[in-house]
Formats: sequence, C-alpha cells, structure tokens
Amino acid sequence: MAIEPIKRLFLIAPAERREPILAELQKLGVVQIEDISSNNEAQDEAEVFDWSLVKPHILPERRNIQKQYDSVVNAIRFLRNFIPDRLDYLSIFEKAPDIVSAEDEQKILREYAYEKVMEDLREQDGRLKNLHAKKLSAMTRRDNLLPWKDLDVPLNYFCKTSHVVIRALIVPTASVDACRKAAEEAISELWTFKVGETKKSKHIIVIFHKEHQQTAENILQSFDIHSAVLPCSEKTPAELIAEIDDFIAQIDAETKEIEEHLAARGGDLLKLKVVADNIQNVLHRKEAQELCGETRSTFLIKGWVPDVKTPAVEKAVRAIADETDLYFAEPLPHENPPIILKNTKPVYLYESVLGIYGLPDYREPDPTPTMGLFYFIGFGYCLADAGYGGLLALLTGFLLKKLKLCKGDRKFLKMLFLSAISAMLFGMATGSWFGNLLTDSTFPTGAGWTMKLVEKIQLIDPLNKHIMVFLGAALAVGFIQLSWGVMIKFYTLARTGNYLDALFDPFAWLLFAFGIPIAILIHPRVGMWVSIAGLAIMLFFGGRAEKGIFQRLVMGIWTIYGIATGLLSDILSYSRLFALGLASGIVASVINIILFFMWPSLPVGKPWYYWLIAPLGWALTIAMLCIFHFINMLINVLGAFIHTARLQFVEFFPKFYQGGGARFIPFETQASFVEIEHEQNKKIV
Amino acid sequence: METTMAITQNGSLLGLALGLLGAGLCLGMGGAGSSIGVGYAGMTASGVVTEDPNKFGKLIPFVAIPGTQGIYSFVIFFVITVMKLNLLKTPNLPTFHQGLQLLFIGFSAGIVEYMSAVYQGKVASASIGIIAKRPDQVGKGFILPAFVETYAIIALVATLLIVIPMKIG
Repeated sequence: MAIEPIKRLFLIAPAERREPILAELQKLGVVQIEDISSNNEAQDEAEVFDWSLVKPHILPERRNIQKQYDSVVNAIRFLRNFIPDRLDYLSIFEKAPDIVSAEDEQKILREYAYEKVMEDLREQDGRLKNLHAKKLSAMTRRDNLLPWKDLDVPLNYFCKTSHVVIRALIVPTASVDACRKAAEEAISELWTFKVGETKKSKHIIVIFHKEHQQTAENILQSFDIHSAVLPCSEKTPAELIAEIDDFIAQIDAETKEIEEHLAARGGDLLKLKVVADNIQNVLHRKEAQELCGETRSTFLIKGWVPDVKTPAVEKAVRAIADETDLYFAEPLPHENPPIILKNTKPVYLYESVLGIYGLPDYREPDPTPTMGLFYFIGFGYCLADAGYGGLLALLTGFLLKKLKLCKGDRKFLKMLFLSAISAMLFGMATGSWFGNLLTDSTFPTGAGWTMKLVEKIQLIDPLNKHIMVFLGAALAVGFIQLSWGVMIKFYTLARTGNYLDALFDPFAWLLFAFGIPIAILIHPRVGMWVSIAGLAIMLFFGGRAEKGIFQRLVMGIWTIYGIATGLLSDILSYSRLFALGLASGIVASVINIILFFMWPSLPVGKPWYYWLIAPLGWALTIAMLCIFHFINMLINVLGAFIHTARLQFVEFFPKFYQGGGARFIPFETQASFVEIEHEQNKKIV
Repeated sequence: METTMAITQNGSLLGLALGLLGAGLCLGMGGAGSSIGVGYAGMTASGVVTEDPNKFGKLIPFVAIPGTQGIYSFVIFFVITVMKLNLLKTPNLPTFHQGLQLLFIGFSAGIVEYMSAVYQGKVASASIGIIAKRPDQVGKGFILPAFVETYAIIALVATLLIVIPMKIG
C-alpha cells in the first residue's frame, strides 16, 4: 500500500566479468542502471570512488547490432503483410506478444538460420516489386491501345508507308469539326476514318500525302492535338490487347503464388520474432554497457534496486564473480529515486488512473488507495445506471476474456470492470435500469413485478422526490474527499516534524470546514464556533511568513478568502456527479420512450397478416434499443471516466499531493514480439 | 385587470409557448455548439489519420467529447418538454411566470452549452496533437477538455435543480 523502498546500488567488478554480470542482471530485471557520467559532483560517495578514473564506455559495435535488428524487424513487417492477423478492434488496445516456451526459444536461437530466411524474403520482395513494375508498364501499353481496339488492320501498316503519312489522332470532341474544316481546306487529298469515340474525344485515323506533312503538323499543333504512338507490330490492336491481358493475368497468377507462399510462412514469422527480441536484448545489454563506467581493469554500475531485491542481486552477482564489490545505500536527500508502486489487489488497478496524472514523489505517501476508493464511488455516481453498469461489466469482461492484451490495457479494463460494478450499485440505489425501462408502466418491460422489484431495491428516487438528496450526497462525497486530502497533508507535515505548519494550515482548514457539517447535523452554535476558531488561526497565522503585524493580518485575510472560495468551488465541482448521474438515466429514458412508440401491441382481433408484421416491429424495436443503449453507454462511460479523473486531479490532489516521481524502468529482458514462458514463471501464474 | 390576473395565475397557452421557446433555444444552441466543436476535433483527427491510420481508435473519444454539450441540452429539452410540459400526452399548461422561467433558464443554459462546446472542440483538437506526437500521454489529453466542460455541467445542474422540482400549472 505504498511506494516500494529503493536502495542506491554501486557495483564494481573486474572488467572481464562485465558481460556475464550484465546478462544476469538483465535476466533478473530488478535493477535500473543510471548513466555513470551524470551528476557525480559533490556527493559523499566521492570518498569511495575516484570519479576522475571512471569513464563512460563507448561501443562502436552497437551500431551494427542496431542495423541487424532493424533488418530483422523489416523482414517481420514485410512478412506480416501477407499473414492475416486477427481483427484489431479499431486498434484501441495493444496486443500482447505471442507466447513461446523457453525450450523452443533456445532451439530457435540455436538452429534457425534467420540470415538465410531474410535473404529469401528480400528476394521474394524484389520479385514482387519487379512483377508489380511489369504489370504497371503493361497496363500503360494497354491503355494506349484501347482507343484503337476497333481498328482492324495490323499496326505495322502505319510505319511501312513510303508516300503517305498515316496518323492516329485523339481529338477532343469540341474541336473535331473546326479541325476537320481547317485540314480539308489546307490539304487536298485527305482521308479520315473514325475508329471509336468516348464522351470527351474521337479517335480518328488520318491519311495524307507526305508533301502535306508540314501543313498537317502545323494544324495539329494549333489545335493542340498529339498523335498516338503505336507499336510497329504485325498484329491488330485487338490482338495486342488480348496478348497484354494474357500477360497481366500471368503476372497476377505469379504474384498470387508468391503471396500464398509467403502467407504460409507463419512459422518463419514467429521464429523471426524470437530472433528480433533476442537481438533487441543484446542491443539493450550494449546500451547498458555504455551507461556503465570503466577504469583500466574494472567496470562500474551505478543504479537503483528495490530494497527487497538486494539479497537476490547480491547472490546472483557473487555467483558469477565473488570478488565483486557491491554497495547498497539509502538514497541521499537531494536524489530522486525512481518509483515502484506496491498496492494490494483491487487498489492496484487504480494505478492506471494515477499514471495519467503522474507518479508520486519518493518521499510522499502513495495516493492510490484513497484515490481508488473515491474513483470507484465517483464513477458509479456518474454512470448511476444498473443496466449500463451491467453492460459495461459484460463488455469489459468479454474483452478481458477474449483478447490477448498487453499488461497496461488489461489493468485498465479490469479497473473499468470494477467501476462498472460501482455503477450497477448506484443504479440499483437510484432505481435506474436502462433509465425507466423497468419502471414505466406503458412499456411491455415495465410489467408490475419488475417495477415492484426495482422499487424494493431502490433507496432514493432522484427524478421525482429526492433531487436535493441526490445533489447533497454528491456534495457530501466531495466534502469527505477534500477533508481526507487535507488530513493526509496534516499527517505528512506532522510526520516530517513540521508541527506548526501542520497546525496553522491543514488543521485550520479542517476546523473551518468541519464547522459546517457540525452546524447542520449537531448544533448550529457549536459548528459556528468551530469554524470561527479555524478562521482565527488562518487570520493570525495564515500570513506568518510576513514580517510586520499589519502585513501579516492582510495576508491572513487573503488566506481566508482563498480557502473559503476554494472550498466552495471545490465542493460545488462535485455537483457534476449529480448532473452526469441524472443525465445518463434521462437519456436512457428518452431512448426507451421514443423507441417504444414503434412497439406494436398484440394484434388480438386483427386480420391474420398483422401476426406477420407485428414480430417485425418487435424485432426492430429490440434491435434499435440495443444499438442506442450501447452508444449511450459508451458516451456516458467516457464522461464518467474523464470527469471522475478530473475530480481527483483538480480538486483532490492539490490538497496534499505533489507528484513528479519517475517510473522505475528496470534493465530487463524485453518482449516486444514474443513472450518467453519460463518454467518458474508458470508456477507463479 | 382580470385578464392579466388570469394570464399570470392560471396555466395558459402563452406560458406553454414561452416554455417551449426556452426548451427549443437550449436544444438548438447546444446542438449547434456541439456540431461546431465536434467539427473542429474531427478535422484535426482526420489530419492525424492520414499520417497514421492506426491511431483512429484512440482518436474517437476526442472527437466525441465536444458532443456531450448537445446531449446535455437535449436532456434539458427533454426534462422541460416531456417530463414537465408532458407534450407526448396531454400537455400541461404552465402559468405566464413559469413560462418565463423556462424561457430564461433554457436560453441561458443554451448559451453556456454553445460556447462550452465550441471551445471544448478547440481544446480537444489541440489535445489530439498529444496523440499524434506522444501517444503514451493520451490520458493527459483527456483531462484538459474536461475543464471546459465543467461550465456546461454547471449549467445543466442549475437547470435541473430549477426545472425538476417545478409544479406546472
């Protein structure tokens, strides 16, 4: 229920043991390695190490490994194009990596000749590209010939002439007549023949004597007409087109064959993934080496280890090199250790909400448990519908069961599942089941017994009788949460020995705030005096940083103003729980009311064909109800998620929470493509 | 004199007309604002999708956020017309005073919903940049547009608090 204690780690070992020690640390995955060259000045461990001897380690071979990794990843991407993947659900979620057993992994790494496979894949890629280019050029040739399809002569007639010129022209329809006129006037013996036409142009063959060639060129130029370039072939255009079609079909068949061949190589894909991950881990090891320092004969690691893991690290390292020096030290006051949150089962789910805001500082309490509780309540209050809560629980449960997702997404979905249950509880308490689906007597679903059942479970009826209760409860949630935040602040200040600060700021706030419920619930006068006591502390001590008594009082008044308006606006902000809670139910009711207009009543005493039409109406209504309620649920879940998070971040956290911690990023084996299932892992799961 | 009393104290068609005007203005302005807001966010989102179609799923919520004001306006519209004025069955006739109340609350709520949706659209559209450049920080992008929505929710709270307990006629 807190932040895991972290120790500083210094490790000095003989340089020749570097590789095995790093490999072992990577396997353990509990050490965060820090750059040795960063902030070493003026620290008391300077007595232990002579930092001037320690230099960062530069590895030229890292670039080669990076290149190798990139080429394997490219091969994987290439192969993936041909292997159908499962539906990716709009890519909202990240897919979890495939799972491979440790034995298979070893076998693949030992035996699999990935270089050869990649060579082959590159070759296939080249063939595919080549085929594609060929197809494109064939298509262009075909497009060129298409207008002359109906020309029934071999095309080499066009190039064999000695006295006449034959031209194939594509003339825009608009300028055909003008062009013909100009040509007939200028050239005496002109023979034209229309082969075909489209909406925009006519395809015309013209024949004239060679002596007119210059005149003809001029006319064509003035109308901006170009003659088509046709191949000098013994075949007619139609024959040529058929030939090209055959050729394209042949290319298509060949492409398909290659693609099918590639699609059947799922095994290669998996193996390449294993190889890629392995190279990536080697690469990470090299990167870690560059962070380590070295002297002439030793190498040095500076990093962080969770306190509970120190014995494991020590044991593992000593097993490799007994002469290694290991130091574990408490973090120094000016250092910011990385953060690992450690929470129990239901609470840890809400770490995914906290992650949106940012992790806590190492020296402050972890807000996850309280925030989680209020998030649970707030989300339920905002959705406040048993039907939608149930639907969301079903949906998230289904996704969790069906999809193999990465850890972060699983955590998030589980959090939503839990919050959905809260929404169900709030919906039951307010009698909202898909709005008024079960409680309106005009609906077929609002039969007497469902209404009675809902009323039996129901605690309040916000829409008809208890609107102020529903609003008051929302504000009360706010009041409790804010007070709790200030109490945490009080506790933190008192624990670190700042007793006066604890008394003057948070305690005065608490006195002032608690006067209000005391006045309402117990006795007005007592409450008033409690509040006044709080105000008095603020007035006299709120501005204690100021020197003169006058400035102090002015600052005190300013503090009172700030706290009073802050309290008011913070608590009123919780009215969003009320508004969103009502709105989801009201919109659901609207959907019911409108759609049940279409519901056909039982056609008793009507002609027989009514019995055929009525079921259609029933089915349509039910289908529309499902669709609209589903969409409305999604919109309301979005609102509930965002606004409850906002209440935590904007209203609750400023009362006590600093944040600004960095996540602990262990140096570990990473599974980008495949997860290796080790025997010991299996037992833990 | 007597006719004035009758108008102000008894339910009348004038009251009904004023109430409907209020409901209609609220619905219209909220819907118009949401259309503009969703439009802004949608345009930016399309830009991101042309670069990286895989982000489509993550973009949907951002485009949907400015749409909520339209829904809040619709909730107000529904509470006034169906729950209070009972338009789907036999309409209740509000008094002149009640009609004015409904008109003004609907009108002012409509203005807030309109402005809030337009500006939320702009913020959401800017937040989409977070997805484009820092997809791991997507959660933070959700919270910023929610600040703008606060005032739309406050308008909804105020309206519901006044309209729901109202006894028409």
